[in-house]
Amino acid sequence: MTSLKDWDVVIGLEIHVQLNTHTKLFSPAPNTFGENPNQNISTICTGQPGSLPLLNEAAVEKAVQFGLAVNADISRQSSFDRKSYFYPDSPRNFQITQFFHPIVKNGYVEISLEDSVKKVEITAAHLEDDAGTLKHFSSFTGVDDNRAGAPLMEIISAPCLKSASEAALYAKEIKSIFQYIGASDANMDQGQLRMDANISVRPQGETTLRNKVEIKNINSFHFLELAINQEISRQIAIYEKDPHAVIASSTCRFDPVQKTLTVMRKKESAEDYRYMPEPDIPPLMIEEELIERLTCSLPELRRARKNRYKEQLQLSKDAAEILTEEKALADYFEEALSFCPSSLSANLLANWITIEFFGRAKEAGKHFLSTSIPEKHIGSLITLIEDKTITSRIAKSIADEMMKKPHTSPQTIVQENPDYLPMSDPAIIEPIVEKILQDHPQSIEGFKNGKQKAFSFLVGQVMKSTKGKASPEVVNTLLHKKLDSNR
Amino acid sequence: MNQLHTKSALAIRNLFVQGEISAVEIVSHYLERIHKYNPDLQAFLKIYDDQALKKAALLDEKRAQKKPLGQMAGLPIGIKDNTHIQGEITTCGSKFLEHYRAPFSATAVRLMLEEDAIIMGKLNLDEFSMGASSENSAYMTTKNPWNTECTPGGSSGGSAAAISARLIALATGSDTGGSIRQPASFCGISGFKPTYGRVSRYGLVAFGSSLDQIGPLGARVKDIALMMETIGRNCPKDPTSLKKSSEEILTSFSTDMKGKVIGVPHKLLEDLKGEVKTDFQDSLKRMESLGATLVDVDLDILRYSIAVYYILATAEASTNLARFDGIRHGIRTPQAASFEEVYKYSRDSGFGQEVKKRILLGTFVLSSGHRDEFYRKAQKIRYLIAEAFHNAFNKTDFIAMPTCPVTAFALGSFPDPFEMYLQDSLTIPASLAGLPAISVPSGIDSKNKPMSLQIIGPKLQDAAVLQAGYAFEQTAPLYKTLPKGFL
Amino acid sequence: MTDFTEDMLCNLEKMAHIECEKNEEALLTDSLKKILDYVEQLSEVSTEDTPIFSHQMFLQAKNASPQPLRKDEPGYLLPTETYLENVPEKTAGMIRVPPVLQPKEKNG
Repeated sequence: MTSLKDWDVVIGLEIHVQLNTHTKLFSPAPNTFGENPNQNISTICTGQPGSLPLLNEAAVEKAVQFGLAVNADISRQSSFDRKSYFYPDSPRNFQITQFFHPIVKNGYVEISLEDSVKKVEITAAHLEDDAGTLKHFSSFTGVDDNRAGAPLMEIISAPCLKSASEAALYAKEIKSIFQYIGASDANMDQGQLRMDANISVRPQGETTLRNKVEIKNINSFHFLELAINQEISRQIAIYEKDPHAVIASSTCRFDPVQKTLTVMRKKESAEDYRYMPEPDIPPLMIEEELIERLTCSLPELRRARKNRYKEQLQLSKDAAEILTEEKALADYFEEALSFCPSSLSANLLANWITIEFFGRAKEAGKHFLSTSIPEKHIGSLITLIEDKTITSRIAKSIADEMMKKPHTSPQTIVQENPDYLPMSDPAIIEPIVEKILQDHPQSIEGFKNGKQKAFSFLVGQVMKSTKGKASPEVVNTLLHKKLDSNR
Repeated sequence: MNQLHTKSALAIRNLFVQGEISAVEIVSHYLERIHKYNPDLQAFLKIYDDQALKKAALLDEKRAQKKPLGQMAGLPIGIKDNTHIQGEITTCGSKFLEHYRAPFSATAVRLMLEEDAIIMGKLNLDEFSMGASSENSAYMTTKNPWNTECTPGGSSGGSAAAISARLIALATGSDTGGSIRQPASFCGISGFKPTYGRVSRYGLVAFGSSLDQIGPLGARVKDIALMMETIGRNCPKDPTSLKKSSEEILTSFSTDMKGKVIGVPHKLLEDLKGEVKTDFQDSLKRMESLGATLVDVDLDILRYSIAVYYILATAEASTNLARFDGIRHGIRTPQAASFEEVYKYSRDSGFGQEVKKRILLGTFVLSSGHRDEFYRKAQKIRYLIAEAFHNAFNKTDFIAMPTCPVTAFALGSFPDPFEMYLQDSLTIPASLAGLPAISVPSGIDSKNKPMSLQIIGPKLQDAAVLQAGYAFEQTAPLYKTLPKGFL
Repeated sequence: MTDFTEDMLCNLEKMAHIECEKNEEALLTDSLKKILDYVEQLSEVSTEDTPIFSHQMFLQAKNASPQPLRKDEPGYLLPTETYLENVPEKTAGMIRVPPVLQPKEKNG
């Protein structure tokens, strides 16, 4: 029985990302879906005879920006090609893609492994148009061309990923780049980012690549890891049983319900796409001026933002990692920080978001960003804590209220709820302190004998009696005063 | 009035604009001719009696109100039935599109309608423009007005026959390998293929995307120049449209060819024989008499044009016609139990044999294992052909050749279409190189069949080519002789 | 191409999704063979260092410049009813086709 380290895993990922341009790649129809079928269509994306593809300038710019963000070469001249295959979701029965001369080549991203940073090479990235959607019913299938012609970028990695977790890290990095440059929301629930994985396994030391199995259309990082690990195990098991076995190249689908892989087709019946230069689209020339402009306007990428959080805001590595995973979250964090007393509140704010509020959201079965709590409110909460208007404990209760009533500000919650009103007036606290001292003479003795624990106990009792509202500083001061004066 | 159809398009337009004749009178006259001659000639697939008369009435009204009238005001025109008129059926001469209603108008059509032209009907063609005799039409066989046992040529046979018989004043055709020029030659009229990209292809059902051009057919060169002034301009809906606005052509017309150098590829034409040869020599003398100088040019590489064309055009066509699958448009058979069956049945019964053959050939030359040997090779030789012209134009202003090595052949005389392919040898080269080329009637042979001179110019020298054609035409205008039986 | 066979034609039919009648197939095979034999002459031409013809060449003319790219603004839409007018079979705004089966073969 071999172990995993006897085997060299070879994984390549092809990631398809939907760009967030206003219109489709070659058609001026709106690039939005979800409406009634066949609404967002034009003569072009429905493949009407006599129609001609018109390349979207914004899609080209987003492709260039992506290339710049992954340190790639931007092809000064690239071209489009027809990829022929017949399927009902394809209005022309050919896709327009970039097979021969893609717009982006030879880039890389870095992923953080446990104790190192790995450079993942990107062979190429190109533009292509999406197909329509099929809706399956029992006696027929309905075709909807709303999505037909939507702009996609396909990013092809070198087969240099060595494990399912590396593949997931890489895919997450790609997702974050698209979010950070504002080229796509890359929302996987909405199918805006889809992954195909190519996996082969060979004994360590072998240099020739063995046949690979392709798993298509994976739409979650979790399933990506599951599917890849399953396939790795399967291939190892086959080779272990028969070292001379030849695994047929095939294409599979991952069933997320059954959590199994099913073969779609074997290589013998592989499609011949008959790639041909697209005669309707002149070669795409990218001017130096465009590259310069897009380089200057390249937004801060995740890596840079993480470093900024660590260096300038003094956040921990973990906090920076979590907050920057989704650009929307990082933006939220910074906006909330602007409502805090200063940037020194960053750590406190980070904790409150990633621990307190994340936890509450998870309990409510939601993602934090969909709780609708405005950044301003969280900022206010932090401010109230920092200027000691409320205690940490009260803040937690307020947080609970904010989850239930996201549009109510913490100040309002405090005002509406006398229980949350801070108690910092010594005149009110003093009688309570007196009472506690009377009730716990042994603690006074303990304190006199130098037991610090006794003091803490007394503080705790006062806090309990005031339901946590008493200002800890005032309690401390009063207790000290009384105990000292009692000597 | 009963000789209206012998006048030039310009003259008819002027008669209308000057108030000497009404649009309704013009249309009525031509409709009478159409209904008299078309049943035998079979040039029209569709005749728009009502629409044409209605439009004429509106135009008369417009004139009465002293509103400005367009460049083509009152002119009865025909549109080849592979070019869209919004709301009207476009059949492309195929059963597949028998019920296809165009959702938009071709730019060229729209431009002419804006200039107050009146569309009289749709004209017959070889199915999907594939052919040189119009015999491949699924609907009817058009006859040559000069000899009704003979073909008018193709694929724009309906257009050429209708002009020749003076059933309309102007017609559109489309030219991919000679489909305007060859029928013009066979029918003793003028036809012009513009520089590739000079006229919008938006609304033209594509056959060979990098070759197709819409162009005019007319009895006189001045007539076709008039249409070119209207349709020859940049179109933002065609990505291959050249960025050049419309130009005045008629004002440059003169019969002076002094200082012009005309290249003649003698070696290429060494196999010319019979009356076509003597007629060509005569045409050259006529050009010399106008002041032109003749020089020999080496265009030997052009002998490979047919082979290059039948690889590249069919490859493009195989993808352009892939959209005709019975799913989104076309005929569908109720027996189909899967989408694959929909494709097969629809395409089998909807396409004629010539179309199927070209699709299969095009599929072959792009298929895996054959693409380099055929498609790529042909692309390279196309480069050499374009380069040969480019070099020739370094020392010449124009290149002259006959339009066809033969005259109109008898209907049904080519049981094997391959022999017919070989006759495109002189028209295909200008299509491959994207150059403007005009065919002007030069003589009538002893069998009463017209012959023509072809003048090819450098890219974007459309006006110059038309002017040279005009100068040549005026040395012995054949438009004064109408085919017998159509007087 | 002397070895173009009816089998090869059948393969092309599959790729092009055209089903021809049996009698047509023999004719078509013959026709294609003839054409392919004819185009073999292209191998006479030396093209080792020859570039591929591309659309760039259409632009090599005085005063020729390429079409600018389309701006990312919504434009002329095709109304659903107009679109569906030409569709042979439709239901509830969708194009209707026979049921498309999902792949069922298990990985093995």
